Amino acid sequence: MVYMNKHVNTDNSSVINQFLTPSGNRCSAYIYMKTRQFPLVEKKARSSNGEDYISLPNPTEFSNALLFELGYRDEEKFIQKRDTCQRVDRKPVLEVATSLGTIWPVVVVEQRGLLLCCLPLVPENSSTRPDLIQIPGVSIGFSLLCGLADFLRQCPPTEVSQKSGDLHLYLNTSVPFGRISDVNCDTVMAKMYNRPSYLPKSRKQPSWKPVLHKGKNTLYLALTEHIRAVQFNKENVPDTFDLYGTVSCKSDLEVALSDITINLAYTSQESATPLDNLLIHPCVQSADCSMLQKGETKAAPRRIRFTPPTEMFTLCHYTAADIKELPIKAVYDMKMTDNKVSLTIHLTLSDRVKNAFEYCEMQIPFHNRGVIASQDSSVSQGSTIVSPDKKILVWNIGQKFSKSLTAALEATVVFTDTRSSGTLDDPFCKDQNAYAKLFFKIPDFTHSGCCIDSKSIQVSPSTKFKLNTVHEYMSGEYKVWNGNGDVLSSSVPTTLLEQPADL
Amino acid sequence: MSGSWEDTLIKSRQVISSGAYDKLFSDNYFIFDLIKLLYSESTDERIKLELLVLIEEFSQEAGVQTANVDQIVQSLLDVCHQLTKRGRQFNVTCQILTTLTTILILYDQQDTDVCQSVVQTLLATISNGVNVTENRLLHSTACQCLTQLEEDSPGLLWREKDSLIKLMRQERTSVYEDYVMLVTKVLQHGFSATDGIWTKGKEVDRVVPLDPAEYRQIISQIMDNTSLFTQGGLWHIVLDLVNIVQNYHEISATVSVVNIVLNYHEISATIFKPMMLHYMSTFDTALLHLVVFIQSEFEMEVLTDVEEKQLQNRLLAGLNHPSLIPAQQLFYCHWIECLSHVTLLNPDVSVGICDDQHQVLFPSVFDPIDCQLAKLGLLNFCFPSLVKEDNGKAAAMLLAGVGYLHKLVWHTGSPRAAKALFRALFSMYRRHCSKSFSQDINRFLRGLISGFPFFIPQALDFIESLREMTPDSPVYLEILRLLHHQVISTPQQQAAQHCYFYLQVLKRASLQTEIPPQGTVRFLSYLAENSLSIDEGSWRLGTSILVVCQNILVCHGTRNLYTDIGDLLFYLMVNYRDTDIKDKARFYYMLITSSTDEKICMIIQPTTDSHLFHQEAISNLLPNNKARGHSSVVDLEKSIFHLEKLKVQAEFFWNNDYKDTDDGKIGDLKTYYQTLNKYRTVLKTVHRISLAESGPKGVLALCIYFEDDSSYQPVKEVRFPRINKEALYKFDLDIIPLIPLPTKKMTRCEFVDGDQTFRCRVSDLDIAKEDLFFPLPVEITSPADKERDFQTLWDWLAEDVKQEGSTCLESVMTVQKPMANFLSSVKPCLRTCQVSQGADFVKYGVFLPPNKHLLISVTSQNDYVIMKLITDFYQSLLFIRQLI
Repeated sequence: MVYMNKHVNTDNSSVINQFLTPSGNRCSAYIYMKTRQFPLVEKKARSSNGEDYISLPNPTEFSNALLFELGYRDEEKFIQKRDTCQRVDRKPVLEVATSLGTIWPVVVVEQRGLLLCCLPLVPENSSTRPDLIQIPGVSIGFSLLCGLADFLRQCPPTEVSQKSGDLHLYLNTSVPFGRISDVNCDTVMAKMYNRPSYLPKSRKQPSWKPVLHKGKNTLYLALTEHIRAVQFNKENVPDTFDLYGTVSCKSDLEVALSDITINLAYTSQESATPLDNLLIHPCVQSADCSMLQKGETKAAPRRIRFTPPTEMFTLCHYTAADIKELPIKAVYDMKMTDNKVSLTIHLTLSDRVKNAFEYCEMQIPFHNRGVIASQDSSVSQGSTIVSPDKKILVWNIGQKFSKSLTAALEATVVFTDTRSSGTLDDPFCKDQNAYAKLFFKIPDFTHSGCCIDSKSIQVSPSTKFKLNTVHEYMSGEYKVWNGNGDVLSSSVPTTLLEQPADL
Repeated sequence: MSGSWEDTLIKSRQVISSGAYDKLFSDNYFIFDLIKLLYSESTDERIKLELLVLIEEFSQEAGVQTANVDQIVQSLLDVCHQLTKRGRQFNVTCQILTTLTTILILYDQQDTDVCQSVVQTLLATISNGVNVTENRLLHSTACQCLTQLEEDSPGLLWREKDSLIKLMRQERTSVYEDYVMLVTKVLQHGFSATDGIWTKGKEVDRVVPLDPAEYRQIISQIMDNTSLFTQGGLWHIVLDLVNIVQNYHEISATVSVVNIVLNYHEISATIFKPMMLHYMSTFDTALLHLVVFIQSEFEMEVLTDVEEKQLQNRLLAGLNHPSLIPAQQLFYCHWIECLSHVTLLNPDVSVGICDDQHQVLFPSVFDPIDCQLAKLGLLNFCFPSLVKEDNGKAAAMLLAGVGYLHKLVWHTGSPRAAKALFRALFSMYRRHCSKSFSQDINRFLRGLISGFPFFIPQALDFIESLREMTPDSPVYLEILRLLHHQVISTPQQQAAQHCYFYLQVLKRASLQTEIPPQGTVRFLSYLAENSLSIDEGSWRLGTSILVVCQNILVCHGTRNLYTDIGDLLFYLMVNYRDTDIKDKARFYYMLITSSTDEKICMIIQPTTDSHLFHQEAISNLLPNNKARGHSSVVDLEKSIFHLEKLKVQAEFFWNNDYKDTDDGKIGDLKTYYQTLNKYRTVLKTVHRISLAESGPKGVLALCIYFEDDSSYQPVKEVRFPRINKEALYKFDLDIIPLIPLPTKKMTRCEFVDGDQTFRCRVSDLDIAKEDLFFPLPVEITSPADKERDFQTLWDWLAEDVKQEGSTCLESVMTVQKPMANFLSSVKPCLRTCQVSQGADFVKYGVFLPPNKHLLISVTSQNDYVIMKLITDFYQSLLFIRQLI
């Protein structure tokens, strides 16, 4: 359990920064670990705020106030000051009420059980709060916290307190004087450990690439496409799904400041789904990232030129709109009587999807009831098992669907009488409100038809290198609701969609 | 040694967590110990580093003072030089520079020689290591130190600008960014000072403008290299450039055009355009913020309309981009709102997006609760206020938007989801105030509180907020009436379970004259009568009930509720477990039985917090037995009541502050009296009142008053809401004697019959001498021995008799009776005080509350007995004849 608190300046901004970790239970005690304050930022704050200046409370008080604000304390109670409907939250930016006054704007990031926060310095004092858009430290502080979370991810939360020395070093490098200079965990670490690098001959070396590679020339590019979907199997409730992908890169080229150009092309123009909403890494020099116009269906290749950083990084994200159908259509039919559940699941693989899985598994969790006492199932293919905690029936479908591209499961599950309290129980899933989750991965395939065109990759200055490209298609959140229960859905009523012009 | 420093660090971490910074360092001159440590090569680098950070943070606590700051900085600088020469411990060297720079600025030492010395060292550091990769960290730190000094003292480095620009151009390592930051800071300060640069009242330099071409070249070079900077670095650099551009705008708008303006008149915000267009499609939050920041600073100056639209589309698309984390999407929502200039104050301004893009803002099943709420907030702003422009489909879309949250709350009872839902509804209502919403909201709220009574506080907050926003709207009352009806119709079992939530509704509803209070009183009566099982008759429950009663008394009066609320208050004052609640109920009861509605209002309306109010002495508001009723009181010559005393029993209470003597024994008469004074004796009496045969069938609001008597503490009046002829009414009275003398307290009563208040006497409250005789309560000896106690007390009193001014008295009486006859004739009250008895003797120790005694030693002499008496209350001797 950790709490850290420091002040940072991002040129006209200052930050309090803290993190907390729970010990198993989300609402259990939190322990303050460490504080870091930047007096020059305080001096600026004092100078610009004059009589309105609010000094920082002690870390323990501040952490308690923050936990209260976030609802980790007294969440069940209605505290009007915190919970009134009139309050407009600007998360991840909060205001924290303390005995010395209200501290604002506190930026908060929660990752992996760690709670990190910072308080940017508001550039100029004014009677009214400036808009967050006017406070640079809000977003740069947010990025700092994300970088810090990456840094701390390297050790278990319970051992974070032992990294005090490393933390000092990290913050001294990342936030000297409270002024944020670098927020990327990898580059900050390279700088703080003073990792050796050679000097590029003519071009200037980017600050985000303090170490240049020396060794074998390899280039790794991976295109991972995900689908997230929620299937309701109900009239008037359309299924919801998104196809999206990420290109990751690791460039180990012994060419100082090489420029790499890649093309995101399509295996087949006919079945291609055009990429849209391309979001790029800051190292990208130029890219075809225009958004699709309404009605535009032509899948044009996307060219990206970039100067890769040393570490593994995400080159771009994209979405692929208008896919025709889901990769696997699932129907979940479950009925419950007392402690017994009868269920059937039918899966149909789209013929546009490659029928060669690395894995394909359906998990059927049973929330808010006893554990599985026994189960009797028959499957058209694959096998079923019960998870170790006896809360989930797992159907391993196998690597390939049958020729009919369908698979089915029929099962009867009996539960113990005593309801087991699982912390992961979804409170919505009571009685017949239930969903199943699908997990799959298909190597060497993308649903959009998009691929990294390995033949057109260019490196400048020209050099020989070993190229590794990976394509894969994976499920993200892929839920299938029981057709006999209630569902959590959110979609614009179809009647309103028909005449959008009237809206 | 290093171990002790480690301990120091561990301790300091603990101290910092508590905030007791003044206890951070045991030594007032900790800083000097640290400087010694820095010279030591054996100490771990990380320990040195952390200690230096501590000094940076808490220099004052470590012993840095204005008087010694130059000495300390110079010493730190020496250590720095030494470490640099050795080429070791770069991180420590860098932290020393950071710490000493911090100290210089904190203690305003910029004009001192030591500061000049530091600046020269820093300049030398960055000049000597251009394009050297090994000491980049040191160069970077030196640049940052100089930037801080320049920032605090604008113009400090203006003279060095040429060499700094040269160094910046030469530098090719990753430290280039730090040089650029330093240069832009120096340039910005130089260009923003129209009348020269001043530092602490001393002119440093006149602005000597750069050659315009060179200036443009520098800016151009910096903007061409934006791709080389980190996010943090780019922000700092761009902010300085933004200041330069904005200064130009401000200066050019004034009459006093100076040379400098002419020289960079070509600087325009369009220098940011390529960068903005490039980063428009970034997924990096800080960089996209930079784009929207420049857009907000230079609206319509940099981007064309089409490009502005592109930026908006990027932000909108980002809201549903599965690869972005929720926090990023929340930032996007906020930026869209800011750039659109939508506010609640202007109902006509909408987020300018196409109709078919509205669904982008419609919450998705993949959105976490916070994102749903943020999107719904924006969706509200997509339509002009529906108050002015009826748009059924827009209303339908807005209501459909909260469907997910509604269902989530309904099925899970999640407080987080409920909070988001109420906020979504309120923001919708705040902008649109549509009637169609209010109907849906009514339905929704009723359903919600019937399923989840614990959401009543949220629901009440919601309707209060509606009322605050639209005071004239009937929505508040409509919803409150429905909630009230729902509460009073709730099955009793459920009502008991969630009574505190329901009481909150009743509290609000009872303030509304439009909502009839009869149902409320019935509900309260149920709670009162079942208070033990509901919440063990707690103070909290009683107070909650009384608060509602108070509201009813103030807002509804008692005309239609006299009996109901009277019964309720009477029940509370007689039967409720908590004494404080009884007292409060008694007060209200007294009010309604003795005061007009107007007076009740006058007394209790100003109190907004009833429990505070009840701290006031009742007598201050309504002096004892002086209260007057609704109209003039008619005195009856003949009493129509029978009052009888049924029982008297003494109870002794230890006062809470009593502490036993050290040795547990009472050694003399003085300590004995002191001990006795810690006792409180209460005569617990039970009385009965009834209506005489000749009286009416029943009367209302009977109040019995007892005359004050100097020998007793005042006795509180007794009240009954109703007295019927066929019934007998018992009541308890606590009587506390101050002097043990019998008395007859005059007793009167007031009551209401029809519309008239009457007054009459009733039988006096009789305290007889027998009622005042009790056994000795205090044990003097240990282990307890009544005989010895009696003798000890006798001896002490006998000793006291010899003293001048003693109140004690000895006496002897003879009674012409044999011992057997004597014993049989002794009254029971004396018999209970018997200490010991033998064949020819008997002893009685009588305690006369609150602190007097009568000791009797009786011996037999043939056919008569001799009574020796000793007392500290001589009046008691007068009673004795009547007791034997």
